[in-house]
Amino acid sequence: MAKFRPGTLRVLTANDLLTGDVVFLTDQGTWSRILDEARLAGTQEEAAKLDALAANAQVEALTVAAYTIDVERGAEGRLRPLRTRELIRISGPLTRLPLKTGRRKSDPEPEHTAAIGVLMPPRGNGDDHVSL
Amino acid sequence: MYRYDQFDQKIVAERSGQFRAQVARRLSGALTEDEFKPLRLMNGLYLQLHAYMLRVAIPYGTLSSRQMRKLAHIADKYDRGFGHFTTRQNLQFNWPKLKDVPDILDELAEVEMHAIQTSGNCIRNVTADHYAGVATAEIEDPRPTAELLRQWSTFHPEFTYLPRKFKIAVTGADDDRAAIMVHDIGLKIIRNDRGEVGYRVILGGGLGRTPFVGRIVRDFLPKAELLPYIEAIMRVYNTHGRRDNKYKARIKILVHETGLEDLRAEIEAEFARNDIAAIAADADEVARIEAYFAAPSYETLPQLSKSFEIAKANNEALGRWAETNLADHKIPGYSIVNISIKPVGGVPGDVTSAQMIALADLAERYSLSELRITHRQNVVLPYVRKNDLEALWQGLVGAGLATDNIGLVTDIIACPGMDYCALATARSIPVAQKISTTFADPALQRDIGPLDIKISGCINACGHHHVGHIGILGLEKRGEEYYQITLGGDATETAAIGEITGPGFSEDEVADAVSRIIDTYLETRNSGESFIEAYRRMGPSPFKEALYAPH
Ligand code: SF4
Repeated sequence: MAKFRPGTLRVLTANDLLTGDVVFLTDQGTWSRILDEARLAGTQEEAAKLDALAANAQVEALTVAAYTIDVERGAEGRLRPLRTRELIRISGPLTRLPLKTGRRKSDPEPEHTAAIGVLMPPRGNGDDHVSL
Repeated sequence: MYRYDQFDQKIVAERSGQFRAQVARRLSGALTEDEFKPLRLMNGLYLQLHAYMLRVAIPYGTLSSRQMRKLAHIADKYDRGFGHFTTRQNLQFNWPKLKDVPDILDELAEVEMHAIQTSGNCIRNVTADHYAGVATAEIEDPRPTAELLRQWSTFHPEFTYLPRKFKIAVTGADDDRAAIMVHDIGLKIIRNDRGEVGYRVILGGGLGRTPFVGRIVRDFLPKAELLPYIEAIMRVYNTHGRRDNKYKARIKILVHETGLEDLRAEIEAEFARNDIAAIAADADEVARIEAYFAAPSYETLPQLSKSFEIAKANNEALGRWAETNLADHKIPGYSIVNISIKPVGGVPGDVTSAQMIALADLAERYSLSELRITHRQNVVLPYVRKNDLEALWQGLVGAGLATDNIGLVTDIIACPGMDYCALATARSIPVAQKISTTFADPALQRDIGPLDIKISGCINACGHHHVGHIGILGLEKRGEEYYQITLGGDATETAAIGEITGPGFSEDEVADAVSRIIDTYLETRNSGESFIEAYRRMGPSPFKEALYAPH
């Protein structure tokens, strides 16, 4: 896994199995489409735990291609990825999409936190280490 | 056009049913992603940055109005209302959901379409000259050959797990519009001294990390021996291809490392061992396929259409479009119409569902319901009467499809790049948009003349940058995108791999760098000399000077 640089934050991301949407693991063990809701790893040890989770079978049951990325807190306190690739992955193509685009009516709105599936118990529940 | 027989229909329907069951098993947890991934890839379903991507096969780029309408319907019902034509003459949907893909495949099967052979280490969807059957100076229509290869290669058990993917392109014309020199196998239909029709077989071309121009492995292959000979090549490749190293696994590396002579000897020996009569296509089957591509019943028309000549003279925009977007047809009174999918400032190859419907309608009205997708990410209507050109153009104007830039500086090939592609190291689309905006002026474009700019967002070279007159390759250095420029590439019968000019440019600088290259050409060209001719005469020096000398 990528070396953890002190001062940065790490999150676990994947694509939702069913829809392909970009999702992040939250503190509650659910998956959210909102980066700001992601569970943050701020130390080497926490980062290593997230890295290990990427290969976990329960993660794979609900998502595809899980991996960790490094993020930072921007000026307005919001999280943003360090790499352009991840920025694009989250925000959608930077280029203007053809005329008729946007989400289909049936799609959930991105601002809703979609609990795609409960993965693990919330942290601080007597079990800081996520046992799966 | 080819129409499915009961076998084609059956295997496509069965395949769709199998995939439905595989998706269900993945969702239930019976299949892991590792187990499922090769299955979804064999059905054209990739995972990209934001979502899944479904690549739909358009065999040799030919499709009907009915099929195009179905693509529009799928774009609307299951995706976000648009699709993307690729350099493999296919169409990609950028946002399908896994749960919908079995339904999409069923819908495709209804119109004799599928997503087989658009991924994986198999013989991929065969490509061909987009002017097939209507080009002047064509020995024979390449589509029956491409269709025969499609049928032979589909689910061929011996060639389903090749060392790497395998791409075949076919042309029947002297002007190579199918880039046969940079395919694993390029087939050129030729006539020998005795007047017999057969193939010149080009082997080991390719782009990507290690680009090569293909070399002639067989100067003349009798038509009837096509399948046995290709089978011999495939068997030698399957045996010796470098499975140990993904980056060395394409046949171009085998040709390079083994040497053409030795490899040719091995292929010929394998060919001699083959039971040629048993492998060769049945003559009745070949005739059955050829019948689907028989010329339509053309009307007898004068070469010039008076009404169109008058309309052109009275309408500057129509005249400009006719100058760049029409090509000579083999039948008097008809034109081949190129429809540019490269609006200035737009995304190369992207079409909305409304435009797909307009294309389908216009093809139905004016081109016997047939369309072609080109490897240059444009669309061709192959059978348009010159008398109908003005009306067709009006229809294209209405659909936002009348961009008059075919072959010019703004007719840029660009892969999806980092705006979509999980493998990308940089974005391609915004670079194409900036360059096309810079050179938007139609008079300037015409002054510059024929010029191929091709952009890839990573070394995989889906945007064919190696064979662009000006090639642009997007890379990443310390988290920043930068762009390497190559000059002198050529995808035609005079194929060449472009040479790297020197250090790369940032995203902000790259359009300006292209401008400096073009300015240098404009200042130094001889009268009537195209960009590529000028480059060949002068070499890279003046262009490098313009790019790197302190100003
Ligand atoms: S060249 Fe690279 S970035 Fe572009 S489509 Fe191909 S793999 Fe993706």
